[in-house]
Amino acid sequence: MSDRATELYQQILLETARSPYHFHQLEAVDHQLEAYNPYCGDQYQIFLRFQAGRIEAGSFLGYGCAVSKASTSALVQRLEGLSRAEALELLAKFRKAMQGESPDSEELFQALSAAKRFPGRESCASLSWDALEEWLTSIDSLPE
Amino acid sequence: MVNIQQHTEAMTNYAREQLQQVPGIRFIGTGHPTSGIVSFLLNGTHPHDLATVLNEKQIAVRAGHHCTQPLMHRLGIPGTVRASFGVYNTFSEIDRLVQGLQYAQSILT
Repeated sequence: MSDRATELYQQILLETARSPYHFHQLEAVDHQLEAYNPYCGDQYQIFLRFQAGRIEAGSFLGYGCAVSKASTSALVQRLEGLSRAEALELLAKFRKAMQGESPDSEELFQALSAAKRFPGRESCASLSWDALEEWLTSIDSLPE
Repeated sequence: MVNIQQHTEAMTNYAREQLQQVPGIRFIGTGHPTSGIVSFLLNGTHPHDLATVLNEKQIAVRAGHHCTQPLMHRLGIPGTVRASFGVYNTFSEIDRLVQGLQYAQSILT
């Protein structure tokens, strides 16, 4: 069984949405990102803690569709341990995968990239990444 | 006009009866069936995910707030999926909607 819907709703995407990474409030938060789409109501708070110029830990809470939740989970998990420059590299990697320009990108990114084939759903995949980009481009570095 | 109203009511009542058979369905609004609209949620699925799968099966439903964010907030729900019927719709299309929901459940839950 394979159609456009199952290309998007792959097992890895659904499992990530059902059991998202660090889906709780982080203790001792240094920075909080707000990812909100007023058109559909999806809304996430992303909590970050820094140490020595890197994102030491991340978590998130909120509500949205399986696509936005899986994508936000992927973002939080992959951000941990990164500097600002490395986070920007991760962001570029995600954008490239969403455009279908990375045929060898990881499985979850490939599933998320299928969102662009559905009207209005690409923003579900990019919601939290847009918030990340807005923040990263507004700062020069992460606190030491 | 009477014929249109009768058709709309019959479609809505049939939809409610048939959709009731889908495990986990929750109707939002079950008033008099003159509007020809059936709004619902399906346990374990988000309205937008559900609508995407149904749309792929050529079943045209809307999902979201339907411009009623305060009401959705009051009901404590993220939105609904909404099927609406007109004079051009048939009973067999409602059967297809039920099949579509079963298919969506098999993928999403």
